[in-house]
Amino acid sequence: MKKIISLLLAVALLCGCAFTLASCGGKETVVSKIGAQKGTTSKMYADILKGVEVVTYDTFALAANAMNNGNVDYVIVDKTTGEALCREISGLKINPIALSSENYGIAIDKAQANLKTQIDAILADKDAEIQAIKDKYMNNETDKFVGVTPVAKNVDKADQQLVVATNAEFAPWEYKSENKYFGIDMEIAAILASELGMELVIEDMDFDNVVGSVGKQGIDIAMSGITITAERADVVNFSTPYYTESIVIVHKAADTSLASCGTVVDLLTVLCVAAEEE
Amino acid sequence: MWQEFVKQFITRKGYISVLDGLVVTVEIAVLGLLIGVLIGTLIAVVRVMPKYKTLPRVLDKICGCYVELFRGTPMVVQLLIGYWVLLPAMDIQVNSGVPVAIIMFGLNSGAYVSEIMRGGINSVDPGQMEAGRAVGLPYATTMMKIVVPQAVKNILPTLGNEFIVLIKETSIVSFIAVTDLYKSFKQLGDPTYNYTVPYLMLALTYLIMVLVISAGVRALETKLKKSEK
Amino acid sequence: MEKEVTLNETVLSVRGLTKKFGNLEVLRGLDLDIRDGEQIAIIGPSGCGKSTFLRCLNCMEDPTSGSILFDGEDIADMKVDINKHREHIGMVFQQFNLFNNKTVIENIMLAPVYVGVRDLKAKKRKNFFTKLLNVFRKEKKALLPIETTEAQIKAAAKEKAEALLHRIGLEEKANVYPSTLSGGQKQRIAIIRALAMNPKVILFDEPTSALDPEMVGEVLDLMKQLAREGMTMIIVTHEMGFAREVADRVLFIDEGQIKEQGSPEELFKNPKDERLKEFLSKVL
Repeated sequence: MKKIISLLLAVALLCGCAFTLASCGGKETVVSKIGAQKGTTSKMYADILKGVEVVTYDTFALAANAMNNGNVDYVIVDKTTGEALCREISGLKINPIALSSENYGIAIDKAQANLKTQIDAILADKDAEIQAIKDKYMNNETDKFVGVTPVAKNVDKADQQLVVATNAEFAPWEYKSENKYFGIDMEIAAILASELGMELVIEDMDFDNVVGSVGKQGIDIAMSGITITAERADVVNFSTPYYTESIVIVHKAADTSLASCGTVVDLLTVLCVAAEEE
Repeated sequence: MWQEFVKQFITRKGYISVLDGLVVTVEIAVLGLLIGVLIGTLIAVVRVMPKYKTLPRVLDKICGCYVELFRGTPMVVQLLIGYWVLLPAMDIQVNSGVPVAIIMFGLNSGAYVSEIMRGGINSVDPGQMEAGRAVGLPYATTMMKIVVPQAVKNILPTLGNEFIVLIKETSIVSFIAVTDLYKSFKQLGDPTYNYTVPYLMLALTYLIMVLVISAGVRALETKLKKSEK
Repeated sequence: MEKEVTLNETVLSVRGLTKKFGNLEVLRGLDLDIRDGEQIAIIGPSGCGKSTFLRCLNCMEDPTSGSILFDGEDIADMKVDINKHREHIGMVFQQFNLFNNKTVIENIMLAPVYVGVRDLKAKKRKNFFTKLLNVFRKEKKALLPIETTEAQIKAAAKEKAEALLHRIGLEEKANVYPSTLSGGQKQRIAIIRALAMNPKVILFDEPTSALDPEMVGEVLDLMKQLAREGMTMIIVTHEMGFAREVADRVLFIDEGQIKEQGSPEELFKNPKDERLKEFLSKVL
């Protein structure tokens, strides 16, 4: 009986191996493995690169850990987050070449056309103040960070509350510490609320739901380092862009494979199957 | 690691948010299980009813659909649909996702508990029901006073297991903007992208909770066994 | 037996009772009148339908056709509230069927308290509506008198249960659970559980078959006591000696029919039916 079982197991294993080999043969060659965070625009960018195997993780930090463990070669990330990653996790380095750039905007409930006008006006009006916020976070001047303490949502006071959806897990854009919200988006949100004369409510949720949540459950706007894309613009209004972010590659400090790259084309040649090679 | 612990939990007052998260998780799991046991018992009773009349047959079909629906879709999908689709469709806005989570977890575990309870009821000697009916008690009264209490005793270990599954599954409530134990621990690591300590502490907290539940269930079992000696 | 045999009124009246399980015809048209204070023993080979017949009498099995007249109503009719009638028809099972999750005294009190409280609540509900409608009435309707409270009902049931336990000498077992009792004790408690409802008739379904031989006596003694007190009893039994001693009338059921009935002396000494002769030759 035991013999039969082990024989069956062996056959099953062999079949499995053959199957895997066959499926490998059908695929194009993998030039590099890139880690990304699910649901982000940098992941979407990596997806269109030929010859790149994109491995998605729940957070950038997990992707960076995976790179340190040798599971992926590089991590694709937006520049600001990439810099924060390099600051907090040792042994990482950022490649300065921007693969692409993208604009961050505030996602606004389409049903409240008026709100977009108001927010755009405030962004223009408070430009200097907002720049100062960006600068202090980019330069990691921690002593200047101001924690934001929101109030609890109350649907009966919907017109007196600015309800902001976010995924407070991305320093320096938004994160939670000492029971307060910190980050560029959070401090801008506080300015918006005070300019609009409203109480600030922050709804902290999974990033996958942030854009889709706008206009539902009393949520007025979403601020979570959201890149303006055509698909997202179908479901929400976007404010004027308040930040231009570039997509970059983070690699291990010891890794010199990208050292000689001087242009985007150089970089892409290392990362993926270039178009002319097809 | 100890320094990291002190920094995240003490200096940045992480323990406060973690305690808040713990309360939310326990609240959702306990109330969810309560609702689940109520719904599950009701469905189980309907499904074991004799079926020579039309009404029990129709109710049985409805309950069958309910069970299949909630067992056939992932919990996270039910939660997302409940909060982001159904409530907005009904034009209902809520201040917090916690009651929604409690109800959705209750509805979901109701489906599972009903199957557990059905097995429990079937394991009770049919003579118990007969004796109850013979002294003139109606079906429902006999069920609730005689059969279900004995069934609950039989299924207590399985019910404890369901509670354990439930309390661990609540970690998906961050999908509907609720900060539970999982999320509150995760937040401790976010500012510095250092999750080693929070994740280990999170695992430890869940483990302790589960051990407490197991011990509680065992104590309850021995107590019930003793009470009938 | 020093018992006055008087022809009292009929308690149960069965006409043309049949029962089918699928295509299997278990009872094929039985007629029977049971008078108040009568003890009837039902005997017959196993599988003859005697237990099914007994279980039809309180509709534990729904009869396929026929009528069972009790308290002026045909309880075989599905529209009748059978629970109301079952309160007055006690039943004792072969496997005792004490409620395992209740103590002995709770077992005895459960049904009386339930019925008492239910009736009390029904009265209160009715009074509430009478009061409500009285507001609009010129001539006020009188309210139903309410003499008891829930606590009083419980106290009375407890007192009665204790008295019954005292009667069978098991008062010290009042607060234990059935799992600690012997079979004989369980069955005697099952009998007084039925008695606690003041039934008009008690059905016994092979009450001693599941007992160890040394415990049969104590149960039969209690049943004899009840018989002497004039309780109407219908007993499905294998104890021929007991049937002979206690019963006023013995029914022999075979192949789903009453093949022969009569006084025990007549039936046991001078059986007419061939099947009965054969049966008696085996069991006596």
